[in-house]
Amino acid sequence: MKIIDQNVQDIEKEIDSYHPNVKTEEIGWVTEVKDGVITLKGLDNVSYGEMITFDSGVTAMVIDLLEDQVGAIVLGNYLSLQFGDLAKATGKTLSVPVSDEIIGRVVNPLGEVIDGGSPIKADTLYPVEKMAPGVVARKSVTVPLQTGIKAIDALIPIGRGQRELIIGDRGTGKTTIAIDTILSQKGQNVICIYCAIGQKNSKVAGLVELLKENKAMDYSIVVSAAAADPASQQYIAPYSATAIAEYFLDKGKDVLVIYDDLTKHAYAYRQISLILRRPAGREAYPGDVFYLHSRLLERSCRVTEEYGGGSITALPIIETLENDVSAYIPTNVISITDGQIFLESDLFNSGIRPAINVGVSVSRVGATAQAKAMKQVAGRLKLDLAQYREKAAFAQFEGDLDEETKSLLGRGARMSQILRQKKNNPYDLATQVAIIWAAKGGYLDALPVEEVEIFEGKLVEALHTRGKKLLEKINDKKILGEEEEKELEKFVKELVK
Amino acid sequence: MSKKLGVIYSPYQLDEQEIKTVVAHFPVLREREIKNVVLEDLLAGVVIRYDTKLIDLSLSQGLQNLKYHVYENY
Repeated sequence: MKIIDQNVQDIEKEIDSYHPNVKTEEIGWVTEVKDGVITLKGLDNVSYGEMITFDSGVTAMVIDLLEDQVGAIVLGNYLSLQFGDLAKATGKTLSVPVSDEIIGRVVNPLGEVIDGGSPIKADTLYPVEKMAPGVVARKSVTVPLQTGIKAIDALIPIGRGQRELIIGDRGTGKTTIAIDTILSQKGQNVICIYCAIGQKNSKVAGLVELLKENKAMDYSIVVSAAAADPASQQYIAPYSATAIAEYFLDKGKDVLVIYDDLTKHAYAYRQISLILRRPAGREAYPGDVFYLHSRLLERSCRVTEEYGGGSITALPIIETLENDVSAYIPTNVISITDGQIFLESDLFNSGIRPAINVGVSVSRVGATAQAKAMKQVAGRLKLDLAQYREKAAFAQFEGDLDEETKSLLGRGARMSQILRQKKNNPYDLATQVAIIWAAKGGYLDALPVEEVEIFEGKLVEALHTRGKKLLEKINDKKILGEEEEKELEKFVKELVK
Repeated sequence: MSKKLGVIYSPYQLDEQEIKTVVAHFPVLREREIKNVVLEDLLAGVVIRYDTKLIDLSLSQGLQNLKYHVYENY
């Protein structure tokens, strides 16, 4: 049979299977169109969050129900809408189509592909807005999520199911930390979702390229609502990303979601709220701006075996102005998350990268979500660094200091040096443990501080060429036993000579 | 008190008997003042509107739904 005959047969079968049914639709008419937000009259029985459609195919989501009018945000080209256009309620809430095929793709907040590839065949639809799992469904965070960044994995450890905020001024390396965390998830059975909100298209394209080069797109998804996209898409983007994460969570997987960044998300919501003439509060944000982020971040958790045993780890990013963490949105999100990684522009400009202020940064989950090997070497590290910073002011009087203080300052300077790391260069657990073990054991005390970086490079190279078995042992067992320490000592002493 | 409005859209002007037939099938139209509006784009069938509700029984909408059904499933 010719292919065309087969196609015609298939279409006839589809037509025969079609059963039209009569239904009553709720309708309304556009009365105002303002920058992605429309006001309609009619739609008397529509629900909050319900989708409405127009004949042109444009869809909108109802977010304002008033006595005699309905407000909706347009999820498409609002420029095509006119006064009097007919809107029909669909009876459905906003959902994003999901399936395993979405892995490796770049999509918009509606689930439509924007990477030029073929459309995704969806298994199911997941609601964009959803209640977070209750207390009974949750399990405590105990499994580490390795970021591959020594300063974070040693001092501010993150666990699967935790929400850890990355906060700092523009250009301090927030996105770099997020991307390095994604790169570090290779082979860790974690699905990564990067949600770009209000970012430049060029930046998102660059990030996708970087992920492809490092084969990270094999386990990652990018959800993008760029700066040029309407505020409505920027508003729903993080919720869509979380809905996609929940699809994988329900399958028992561990998921990492990065929201870059929630400051722009708050700006988009402020724009929509002001157009809808909602009362403006502090800094012109609407009164429910806390709830905007709390309901988003509460959906990230670790669930019990009964609910699949998976987890969603969230790394929200907030941009501060002039390092002001006491501003409105930063304080809101700090109080929601389970810790923060604070990046300072002074540290960044002085060459300390990642520019993490270890004193102010915290992980409320802490060592509970840290691999035992890392706990063994980094247990006292935060305290030692705090003592070093306190005594560093005396460094200028070095000639007048006692030997113990000089030695403490020397050790602290070398420990601070090994916490520096190049961008897009994450280390696995074993390599991190080896480097920190060498510094903690005093093997670097004889080296000038300027040569510590060179030593670290040589140690990494030596371990990755001649020490593969040792690294594998530490990575598998996640413990630094006596045998492993002896082997490590051989490598370190050889290089120090 | 004035009656509420019910609008019947059709591809051609309906006569009294045709309007009575439509109203007989839709009890919600019985207590309403009926207005008939001609919309040739409907091709065939009728569209009934009352308050903020719409019942679309037109051929054009039926074809649109069929097109969507085939596109989604084939």
